[in-house]
Amino acid sequence: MEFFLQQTVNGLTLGSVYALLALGYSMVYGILKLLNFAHGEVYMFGAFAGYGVLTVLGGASAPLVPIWLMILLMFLAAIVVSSTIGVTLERFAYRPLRNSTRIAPLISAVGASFFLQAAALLLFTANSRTYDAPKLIAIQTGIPIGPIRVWMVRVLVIVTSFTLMILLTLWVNRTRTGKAVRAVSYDREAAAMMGIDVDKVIVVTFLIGSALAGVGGVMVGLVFGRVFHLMGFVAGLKAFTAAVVGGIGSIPGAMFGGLLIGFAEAYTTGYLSSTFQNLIVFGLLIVVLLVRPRGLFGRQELVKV
Amino acid sequence: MSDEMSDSAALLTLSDINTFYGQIHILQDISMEIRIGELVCLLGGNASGKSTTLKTILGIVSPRSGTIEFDGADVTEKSTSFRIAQGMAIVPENRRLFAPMTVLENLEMGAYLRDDDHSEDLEQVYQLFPLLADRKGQLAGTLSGGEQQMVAMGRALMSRPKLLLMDEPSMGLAPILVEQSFEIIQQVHEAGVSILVVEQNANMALSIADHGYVLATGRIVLADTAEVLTEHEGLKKAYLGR
Amino acid sequence: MKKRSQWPKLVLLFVAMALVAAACGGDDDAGAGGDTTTTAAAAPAATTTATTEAAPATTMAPEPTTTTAVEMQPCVASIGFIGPITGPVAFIGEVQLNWMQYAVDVFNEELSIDISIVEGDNQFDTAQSATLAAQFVDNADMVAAVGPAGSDNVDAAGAVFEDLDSDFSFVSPSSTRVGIAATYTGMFRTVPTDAEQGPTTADYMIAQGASKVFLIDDQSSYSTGLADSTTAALEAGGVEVVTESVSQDVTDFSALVSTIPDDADFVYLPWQVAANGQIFANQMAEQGKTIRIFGSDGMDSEDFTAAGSLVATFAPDIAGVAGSADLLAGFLAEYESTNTFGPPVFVAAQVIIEATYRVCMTGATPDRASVQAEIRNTDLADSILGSPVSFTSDGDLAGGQFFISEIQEDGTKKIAG
Repeated sequence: MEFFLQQTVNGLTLGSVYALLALGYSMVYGILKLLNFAHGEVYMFGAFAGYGVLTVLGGASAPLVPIWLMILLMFLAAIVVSSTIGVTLERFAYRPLRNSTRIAPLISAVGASFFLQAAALLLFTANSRTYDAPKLIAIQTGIPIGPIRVWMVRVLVIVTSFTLMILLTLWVNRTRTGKAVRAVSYDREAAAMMGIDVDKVIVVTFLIGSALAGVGGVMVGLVFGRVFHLMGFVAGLKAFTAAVVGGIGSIPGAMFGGLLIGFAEAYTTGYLSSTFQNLIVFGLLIVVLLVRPRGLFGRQELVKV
Repeated sequence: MSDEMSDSAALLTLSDINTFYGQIHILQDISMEIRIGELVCLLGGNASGKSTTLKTILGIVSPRSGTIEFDGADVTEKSTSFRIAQGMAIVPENRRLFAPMTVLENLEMGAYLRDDDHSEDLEQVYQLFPLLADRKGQLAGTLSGGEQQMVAMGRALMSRPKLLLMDEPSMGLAPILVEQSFEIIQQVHEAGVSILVVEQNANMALSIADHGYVLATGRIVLADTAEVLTEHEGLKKAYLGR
Repeated sequence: MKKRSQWPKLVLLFVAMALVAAACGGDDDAGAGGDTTTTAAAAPAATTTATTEAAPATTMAPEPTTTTAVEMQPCVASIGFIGPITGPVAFIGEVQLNWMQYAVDVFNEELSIDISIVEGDNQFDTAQSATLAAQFVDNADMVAAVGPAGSDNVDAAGAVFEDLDSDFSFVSPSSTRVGIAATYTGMFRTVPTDAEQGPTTADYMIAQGASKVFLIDDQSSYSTGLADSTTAALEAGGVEVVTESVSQDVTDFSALVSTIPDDADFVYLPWQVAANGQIFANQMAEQGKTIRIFGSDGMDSEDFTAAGSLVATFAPDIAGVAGSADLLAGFLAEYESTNTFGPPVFVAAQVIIEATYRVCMTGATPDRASVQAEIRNTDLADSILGSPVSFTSDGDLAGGQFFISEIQEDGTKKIAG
């Protein structure tokens, strides 16, 4: 039981980060039918932005401001940096290609991904950085759940992630702009016919998706520690998998897919072997695609006559 | 042209519109006019340029030459959302509802550009289509064809349009629903909305229209009152199947 | 007709500041290792105590008996460098290139010769290594090369060298796979092999009374090779080994940490990315696991500071080698930071440069065959690593050995065996 609980907490932490990343992937796909391969790099820059603030404000061992303020500022910096990069990508890498072939923006996305990786290498060098969060929030602090104790940083990550997911769900379902985002993802042309400014909606989508990725980057830095210029690749791949498993384009699908992948990884490692982790995760992807090609929450495309 | 038929002011005027898709000359010197309170139909077969005309009116495609005036202002260079804000609304071909959204959400999307309270318009739409009030929480994609047509009409009316554009309202509907659909159009028209109906079903369209234009390969080949067109020999042969 | 407001500029400014901060903030973890680590070399170091102002003198080969080089015809040659200057392990390549440059600068001045470097960035990619090898063979001025790092890349480049010109020598500063030097005529290495590391590690754990070891490889060939040789030695000693595996790119080990059995005596991590080891240690602490971590040479870095843990190293931390203090200070004055991947490069470059120099001293123009012959004759009584350097007939470092040190509470390392 203790072991199961521990693995559940492990899976929940990882899964909530994957979910935040998958959301951006899925939202952009929903709107543009574009696989934004640079999304992982947007997340990486968010992680570095958080690191930058942490360092400027004294580092984890000697913070110059209260810890809550430090963490808040780190998240804010990541949101600003990531969403700026996301919106810039949209403007210069994707928008000019929006009416060209389907493959062109895809190639542009791959190129943007490499560009951002190389930029990070030049800016930050290849050395990996460590948030050293245990010095900021001691490893001994935490909330006891039955026989185990959950570190405060994990609590923070899980709570923040779920809060953001709930806020996002409310936003797309309750607000005018949120509904417009959904409308554009369902039928871009019809949305334009309603007077919705599609360009603006696309920018907003990149803004929010990238901001979530930035928050995810800081979370990973806080809970797992290491940030480096290549961290976006694997994370992006996992987020993509989560988005596809959940049904790419679907917001609840991305959340569910992210959590599912997180749990699958934790339980596989716990009950089988870490060697099988990727085998199980990508096996899951294949099974889901075979049984439900549109993903768990995917919807049937409207047949256009 | 029988301009003397109506003495109300022009709501929409197209003058010598030429529209291209790449090198292909789609619309050639199109001129037409819809006056306030009129119901005008634009007839034509497949690939005659009907849809392109609508897209040009809405600003989804821009003409290479010619001008479009709406409600007394030149809107040729204006964006779609500007034109919609000025009072155009469209019921697209095949209705194009946001299937995974509820009926209510679809209706709200119709009022997207309006910042003011639109509960009154919602009430009016529900009065016109009482069924929609019962189905407001249902996903639009799960409705029947006729019900979807009501949502599409209602959605367009939510912006309180001066000019309602209808793209092939009979397309994909069972004959009984086509009749119902045109009754609704007439009802909306009687409520004072100017309407442009783009149709292949010339019989149906002319039965409710004041004026009609006939498009063939991108040119207007006939323009007259609905009565005259209904009796037109060439048109009978080509479109009316009589 | 877009409105231009001020806030985008402010946002951009903020972004720029945050990124600059992230870029500059790195110095604390890559900081000068010199004063934080003090591994004492247990090697049979015949350390020369008489340190002169000319630092390299202490690590030089016996002084040539002939006249000074100035009167000879100029000794000119070019040496290649293959390393991961960019790519996933650029932290290795950057330091290696710096040490390469440093060695050439030091010896050019010391010996009044004119050696130049041709840089080859293999991005830690075997295909790139093969391409670079072919380019180097084509370069008629090049007598030999330092590199590559990593046994997979040595294999890729070695096959090309062997095929095109077996007189071309390449001295790898970080390749520990057993038997690889015997495969390629021109290969030498300045680090010991896993044949030494695995058993040294296992012997230490057995001597500490271990009965169960939890081993996690990082899915690289370095790691699995080392895992295999250590497992074999442990099992031969009657120790139970539980094996797991996790990719280098992963930073969440918490699920794996949960599976560590409480009765394990050591968690053995033969990993290349030391920062991952630190994260692993943190996640163990988080779950209240107190089992000792034993890291391989790849974990010997300032990035891994979990007190009480052990690490093996193929080269000593030269901060602990008294005779190398001046060389290290000279290096740090110019390049700021180093790690254990660096000094073996200095030795590799030294071996090639001195071989070239000896050829020049005979009055001949250095070519690949003569340089290779002289590399075989290498016999340094001492080196920057604090130990003598000569090669076996295969090209392996003779008498190479690993060191095991324990990380102290203050982050320094103390030799443990």
